[in-house]
Amino acid sequence: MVRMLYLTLKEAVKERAFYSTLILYLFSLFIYFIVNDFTMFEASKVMFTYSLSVTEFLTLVLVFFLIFSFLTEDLNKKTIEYLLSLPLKRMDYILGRVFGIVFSGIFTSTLMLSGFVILNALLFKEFKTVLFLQLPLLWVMMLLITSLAYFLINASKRPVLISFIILFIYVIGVNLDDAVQFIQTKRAENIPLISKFLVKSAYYIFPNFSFFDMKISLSYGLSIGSGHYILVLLYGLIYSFILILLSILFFQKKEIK
Amino acid sequence: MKIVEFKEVEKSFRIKDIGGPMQKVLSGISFRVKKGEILGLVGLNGQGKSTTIKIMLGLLFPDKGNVRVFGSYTHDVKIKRRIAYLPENPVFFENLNAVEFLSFVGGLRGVNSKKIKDTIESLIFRVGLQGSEKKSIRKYSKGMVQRLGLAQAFLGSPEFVILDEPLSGLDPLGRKMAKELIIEHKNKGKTVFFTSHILEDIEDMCDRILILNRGKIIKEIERNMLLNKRLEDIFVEALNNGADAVSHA
Repeated sequence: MVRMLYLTLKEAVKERAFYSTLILYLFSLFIYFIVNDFTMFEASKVMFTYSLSVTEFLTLVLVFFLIFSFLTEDLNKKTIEYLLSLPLKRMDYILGRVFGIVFSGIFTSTLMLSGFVILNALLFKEFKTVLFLQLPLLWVMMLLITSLAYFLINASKRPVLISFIILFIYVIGVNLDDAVQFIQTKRAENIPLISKFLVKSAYYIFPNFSFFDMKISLSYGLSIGSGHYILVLLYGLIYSFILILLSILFFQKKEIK
Repeated sequence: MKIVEFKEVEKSFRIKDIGGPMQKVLSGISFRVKKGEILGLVGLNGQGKSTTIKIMLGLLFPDKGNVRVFGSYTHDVKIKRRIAYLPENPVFFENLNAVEFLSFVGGLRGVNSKKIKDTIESLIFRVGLQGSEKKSIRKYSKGMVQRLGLAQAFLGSPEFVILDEPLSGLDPLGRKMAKELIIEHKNKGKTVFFTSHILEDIEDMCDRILILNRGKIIKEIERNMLLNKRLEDIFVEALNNGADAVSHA
């Protein structure tokens, strides 16, 4: 597993997407000063939120690109066939790819947020280390997305389709909380019962990515509660663990045509 | 001693992904690969050569019959460590260079970590990739990728090498080099199984040849049978007889 993970990391840091993300990050640092100039109230808090949002956005974009790139290499160019002929367990392939992508994301997100925190400290004389609490949430979110992608390779050998499905699930997962809250309001009285049932079902089936968003609370210094924080992390870890376990089980029986 | 044993192996695929009819690709093939021999598998396109190799490697599972490699199933990592494989039209990890790629493969095959650098260096020289070893594989030509594929196949001197069209895309010098590598490997007492469309290559190197047609092994040829007759003639004759047999049935 370690060798597969190392291979994935080595490939990831040589990916164009990796360098493109770093260039976008530099560009976002430039935008940082423009946003700061235009902000009239609570500039520091706005910039803290900006730092967390950019870090999350760029890291997730990188993870999506890496997933797509590895799936294209392995499924379309058939490197999976060669990899599985090597002295590797099928489980090692899944774990190596998933954790290789996640570790690339961990490295990039830590680097990006550290840059922002230093910039914030220089500009606002406030060394806001509490922002780093968003990182474990982001890492678990990446793990969840990557596990989902490698769970789906058991069902499809089309990287575009897999990427589209994970993007779709991500969009649903991010908006789940809002949707559930909406159907409980008076304004949703006219919505058919079946639609409400579908939303509630989705709430329990799809991974709820909205749980991982604590950017505003962290930026504005609101209490998030350590119990809630740990529960959210556990939710993501358990969900990912189940997905990885199922991926490995199905992948043992998968034929590589 | 037998390295591989196929017993009455059958394999079918769906023509379309979901709900389509099944097509039989292998119809109960049986053969053995003996230790220290070079065994060639020939056949027209789409007759089941690659499927046979994939079953041998544990990438596909037979519908019926039994497959044993070194007396066991291929998904066992200990067994896989004794096998090397060169796919047809290989694509390797394009972001890596040749040294990084071969180090990865050598590490998995358990090549001595102290010797791995020298082993890789000598193999790179042997396959004629010196000067390009630090270049990204993405920038390699088809022939260079094939040379790299041969280097990885013989890295760590595995006991059993499976080569799917190993000479494809190589220039005359490359073909000569590849043939020498295969013969040298056999001379070390190792076993080679390979497929090729080019009958001359098979004829030059193989101790035994199997002709696969419509999912069946229709002829087994020993090397001494080639003293009086060319492989091409035997091949065409076997196909015609096989076709006759099928049409009569």
